[in-house]
Amino acid sequence: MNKRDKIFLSIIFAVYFIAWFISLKHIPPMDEAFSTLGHRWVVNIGGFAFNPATLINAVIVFLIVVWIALSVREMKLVPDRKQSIIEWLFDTFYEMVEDTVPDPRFVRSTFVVAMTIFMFVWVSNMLGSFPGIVFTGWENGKLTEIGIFTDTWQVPTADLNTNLTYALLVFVISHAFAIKAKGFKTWLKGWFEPNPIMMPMNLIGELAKPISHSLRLFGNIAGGAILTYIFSYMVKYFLLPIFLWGFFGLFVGTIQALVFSILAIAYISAQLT
Amino acid sequence: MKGLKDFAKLNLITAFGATVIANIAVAGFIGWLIDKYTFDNNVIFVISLFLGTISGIYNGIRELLKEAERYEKLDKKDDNDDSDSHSG
Repeated sequence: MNKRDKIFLSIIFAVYFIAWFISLKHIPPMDEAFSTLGHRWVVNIGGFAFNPATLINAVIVFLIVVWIALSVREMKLVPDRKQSIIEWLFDTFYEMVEDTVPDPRFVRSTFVVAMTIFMFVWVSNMLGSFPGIVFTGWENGKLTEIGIFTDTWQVPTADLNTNLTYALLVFVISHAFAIKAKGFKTWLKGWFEPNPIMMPMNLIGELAKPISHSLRLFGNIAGGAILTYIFSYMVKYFLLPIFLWGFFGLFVGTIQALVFSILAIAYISAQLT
Repeated sequence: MKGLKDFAKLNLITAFGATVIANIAVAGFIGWLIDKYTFDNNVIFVISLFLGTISGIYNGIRELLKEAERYEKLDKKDDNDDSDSHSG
């Protein structure tokens, strides 16, 4: 860092400090600040209640992933930085799938499923590493307030419905692959192993997989957002939020995206063994 | 590449706990549903909670052993690759 950078950063910090000092007066009292914490905007259509914020943000994530895909559509022989990062990521994942999945016929399809899930979950978690558009609802689900840069971006992975959809998708895919690989009779017999008394345990164990799979990601991302909100209020929004967003968004977000897709690979491969 | 795989091992810490809790929750829910439409005296609910606990520990340990075996195999493969590259 040279002298010019130091002066530049000092000015930025001074401006930040003055802005923070002025805004101190406008910080709401505790009961007002936490009254809408966790309340979501809910819309009822045809008996189905859903959160439109999740849908809107899912479309944003989807567009970002498509944009990344389009920008590396033409592969060069000598890769540039973006292409080499993507190639490294895909290569690592493919190797991981190859090492885990025992049946070579299903390596490619498992890789496609795991990589798609990883891309979506990772981009979504990265969106959760900075403040964004926040829709606040009241107890009956009515939209009361749209905040811009007031709280952590309500990403799709901070909504259990998205995670449960992916977990159920992996659950169905793993059993479909198992039936295709082993045949229906062998698959059915697998439920009664090592002996028929274990059938209820196997059944509960299988049904518990999508629950633990989805709740782990939901807990980490939604919990991180709530902790950021609470801790930020405690320090009167002074400096700490940046580190919290860095930790819960970038670090925990990346680890959880990796864990979610590795678990998807592990569940699929467990059915194929 | 090896660093990324090492990060994935962090998952083992939460995997066991999450499996046990999810098993108990699922078994409890199924038991509560069956109980509600049959005897409605909570006996099946309590029995299924016990079943869930046993199934959670059984499935959790099974998952842990499977993952440990897989990582052992991967580590061995990495060691072999390293020794190959050193000798070559």
